[in-house]
Amino acid sequence: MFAGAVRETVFANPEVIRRVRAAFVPVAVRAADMEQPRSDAEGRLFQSIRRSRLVPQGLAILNKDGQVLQWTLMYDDNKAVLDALDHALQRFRQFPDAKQPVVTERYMRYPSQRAPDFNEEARPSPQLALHTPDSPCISSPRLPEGILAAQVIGRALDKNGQYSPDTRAQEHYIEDQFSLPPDLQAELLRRCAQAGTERVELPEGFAWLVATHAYLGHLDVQPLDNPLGGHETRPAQIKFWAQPIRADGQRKTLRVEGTSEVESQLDRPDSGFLYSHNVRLAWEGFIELDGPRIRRLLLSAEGTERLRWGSEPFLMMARTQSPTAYLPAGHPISLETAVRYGILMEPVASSKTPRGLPIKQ
Amino acid sequence: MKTETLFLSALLTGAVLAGPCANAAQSETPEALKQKIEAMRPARHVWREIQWKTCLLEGLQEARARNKPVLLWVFIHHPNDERC
Repeated sequence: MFAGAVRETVFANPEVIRRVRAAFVPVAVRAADMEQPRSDAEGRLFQSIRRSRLVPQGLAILNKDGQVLQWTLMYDDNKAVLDALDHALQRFRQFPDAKQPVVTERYMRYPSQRAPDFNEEARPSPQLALHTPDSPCISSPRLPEGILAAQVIGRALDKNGQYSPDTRAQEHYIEDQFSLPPDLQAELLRRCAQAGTERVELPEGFAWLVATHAYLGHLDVQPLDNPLGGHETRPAQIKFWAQPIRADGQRKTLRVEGTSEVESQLDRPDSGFLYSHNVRLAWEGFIELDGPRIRRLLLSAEGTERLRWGSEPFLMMARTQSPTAYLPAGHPISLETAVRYGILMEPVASSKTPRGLPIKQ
Repeated sequence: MKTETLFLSALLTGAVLAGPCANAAQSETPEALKQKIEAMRPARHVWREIQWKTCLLEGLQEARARNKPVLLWVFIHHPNDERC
């Protein structure tokens, strides 16, 4: 949610985009990778950077040797974002490398809520030998060859059945990734092999995995297995079937049909966490087999979605402050809409990872 | 006749509301379905207006080569292509 709010507010501002592209080198790393760094050169850099952080997430400005000039979690308003970038550039001109000690300025909210500074020592410039196949970047962990990597796209539809033009906010447009573990893939193959010419029900684990990822909004409103502890308000109904429709030697095609309805909610007003979420979908798709392997799996769904996010105190805050000032809480959501989802699953080659899947620019 | 139509309509509406909705027309082939899914992506997307590198070492190398600071995103997920 925090990251989604940063993406939808800070980095959706055209002027911020222009300045970042012109004056900075943007790098995105996972907070978990920084929290558990390896002992290689990249890991040592992570260890050095994390010393000055206020919390495990945030935006940092580094000089050319990796010294941290600034940490920021939130911004007073949109202008403060631009001011923070300008200020960071000024400090970079003063401290472009690690030849001298530097003060890390730390802001809970820029510029009004500044935390105590952190002092970074001078140090030799680190060697920046790039990764080799034996020492891959921590952001690109290799996955077992043949695992099925899934790309998910979801969009809200307007009252005329057209795609919502807003693709900035995750309650209107999402892209996501997940993978089908080998054991689930084997179970799916077994069930397909049993089909003969008849319609067979697909494994429950597969059906749940698919339905778990088909929703609009940020991570914390996930209606199944909710990460904040949201509970199902009615038993989930998820069924998928497949029936062979074509065979050409080793290659077989099965048509997939399914339905899903999931609903959950969370009400913790003390913490500001409050959501309710219902997703009802009808699915179609194809499984393409090549001998004992899944060559491709395509799914599409249409239906309706109802989503609320935000407690009353949060809604009050949202009425009086800039969205950049409460980024960890996201923004209030009230949505009731028709939706469409698409899921493409293909085996990952040995050198590929989910992060290495082609991304349309 | 009108009453019958209304009754039928109410039945159908009730059926739709009672269970997960029916899908639109089925795709004829996997390729047709793939095209339908790919068409869901916008031609340009604001999330990808900034080309985030995912390797810090590469980022610092570029910072040295171009004399620019690194803007480092440290969150649970990456900004380009996944839910966060």
